[in-house]
Amino acid sequence: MSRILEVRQLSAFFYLNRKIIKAVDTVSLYVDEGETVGLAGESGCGKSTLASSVMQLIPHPGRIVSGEILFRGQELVKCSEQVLRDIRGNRLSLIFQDPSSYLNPTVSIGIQICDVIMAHNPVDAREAKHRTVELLNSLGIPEPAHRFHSYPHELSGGMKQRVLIAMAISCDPDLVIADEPTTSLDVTIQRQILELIKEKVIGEGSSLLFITHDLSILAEICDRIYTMYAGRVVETARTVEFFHTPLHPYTRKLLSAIPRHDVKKPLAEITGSPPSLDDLPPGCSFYPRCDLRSELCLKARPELRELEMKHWVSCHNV
Amino acid sequence: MSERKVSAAGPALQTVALTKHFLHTKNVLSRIISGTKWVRAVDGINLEVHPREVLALVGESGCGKTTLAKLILGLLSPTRGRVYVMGKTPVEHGSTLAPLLQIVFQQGRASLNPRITIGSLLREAIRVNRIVAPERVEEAVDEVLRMVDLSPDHRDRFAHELSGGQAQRVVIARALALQPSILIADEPTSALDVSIQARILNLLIRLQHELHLTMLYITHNLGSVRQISDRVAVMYLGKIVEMGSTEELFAQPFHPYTEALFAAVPIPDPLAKRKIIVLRGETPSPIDIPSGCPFHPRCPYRQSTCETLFPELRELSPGRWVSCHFPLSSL
Repeated sequence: MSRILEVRQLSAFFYLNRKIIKAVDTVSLYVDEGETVGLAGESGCGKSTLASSVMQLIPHPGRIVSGEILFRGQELVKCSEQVLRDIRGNRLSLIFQDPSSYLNPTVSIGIQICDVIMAHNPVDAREAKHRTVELLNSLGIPEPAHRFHSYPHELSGGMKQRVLIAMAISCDPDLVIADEPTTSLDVTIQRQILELIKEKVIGEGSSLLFITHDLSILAEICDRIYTMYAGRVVETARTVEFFHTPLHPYTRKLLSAIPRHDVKKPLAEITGSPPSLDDLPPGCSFYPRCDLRSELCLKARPELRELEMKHWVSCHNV
Repeated sequence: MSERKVSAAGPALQTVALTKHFLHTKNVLSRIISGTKWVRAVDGINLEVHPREVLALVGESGCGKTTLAKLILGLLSPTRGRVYVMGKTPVEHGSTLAPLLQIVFQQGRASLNPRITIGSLLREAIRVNRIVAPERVEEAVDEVLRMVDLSPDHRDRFAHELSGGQAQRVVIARALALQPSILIADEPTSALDVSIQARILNLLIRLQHELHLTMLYITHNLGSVRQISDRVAVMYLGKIVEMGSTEELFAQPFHPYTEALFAAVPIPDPLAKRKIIVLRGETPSPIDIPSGCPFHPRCPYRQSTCETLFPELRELSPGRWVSCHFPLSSL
């Protein structure tokens, strides 16, 4: 299996007037060919910043401070805009949480998909339109030839998300990064989109980096999972180990805090709230909320250690 | 807290054929040309919540669950039908309704006045409704803050200085400051992260027990329903399609929509064996509700009867109501 994406010791900070927000702090992760990798974490843990860093789309005043991002062996951080344009949307594409803010409201959805196809393939407008209609049809959009001319505001949330998926897979990418693609949708629509991602992204052999706060979804689709907390990866394991023998106290608490509809059980609470990213404690950032904390956690920052095969944890006390 | 207002008998909350239709075509000309269209947000709902019971109202966006809450609160007046809170309509209650019936909204911070401190907004609620004697107001403020696990120094903070979870706890505190006997919680945890969500849910469960609250818990999150509620009512397009005790309903749903909802939610266990049902299409618009059973265009088990004949809500077994011609238990 070849490596599609490798992020090495990446740090991305936001420089505000008086403070520095350390959104992503020395994070390493990789995605192999054909693999589905989950990235879990609560809001503000830096997971979306990581996604936009990989795409080199990190908004001002954020910037990548250090580290490498290798996409199929090619370094992206110092890449020219020209090369990036060739990769983005073509070999590497992104599905966002909120499709309405990423679709152009003044252009019909068909034309927007055609633009992506024509930017990366030597095809004329007629062929691009033909492909677009086929794509819309395969994504379960009724009356695709008619819908081609629809504007984003004429479509429901689920339909807009389908359009975004159509754009993302239009050039048969090597890697799709999906950033909370189902979060704002209703339960039954979320299920439709999830099945579509399974079929059209995973089923077609693209690698997938699925970013979400909803661990349940990751249980269903992922091969491996990373958890982030306060800008850092705190645990990574293969899916079954992740859910059945989690090691980091944060992951354990998080898993038992999920209200499940298939069982009735008391929910674990995590007291306090995540630390603010501009003022991280010197030791472990989970220290104030942790059950296993000790003296050492306050002083030294725990590094990721491989405790079991492919199961890495950053905690002094496990 | 002082003794609570508990009714002797009968449901704490009752709706009778409650209906709310909103005018869709506001333009007079188009009304003349193509006829008046109505959004049937809530359509003939009969519901009873008994004292000290937690009834969960489950449904996807646009099914009318928030409109129903507003009707019960008297914030909207019904097109037809009635609401009874402790045997009286909201209009008959007048100003005595607020101390009886309180609501917790989804967006905690948005329902707090940003310009006054947490202390003064709690104080105001207690004073205006004359919950305790004037000299005991400060004490009462401390007490409700303690109830929701906030320290008394939160009194001097403003809403923007609170985290999402804290803001939601202040909203709960403000609702409880009036010592209500009925609490409506409208998606109280859906804007929160998992770890915070668990805390709010546990808080609501604890307070419901301690204060013997009657609760209408409105949500789309099935996991939280399982943990908190005694009974569940599932809504689809302004109507109740299934109702029953939480344990029975989760063990064996009778309505295909309920089954599909359960089968759509992912489970945080990669080894769990389960069937997944993918529903066709999307929820139709409440302006053009399908003929017969409103769910028939998406139903995997539909038959020709379903297209023409509306299934009335009927009691299949004691306490188990379903609006389906072919309930799943009989298949």
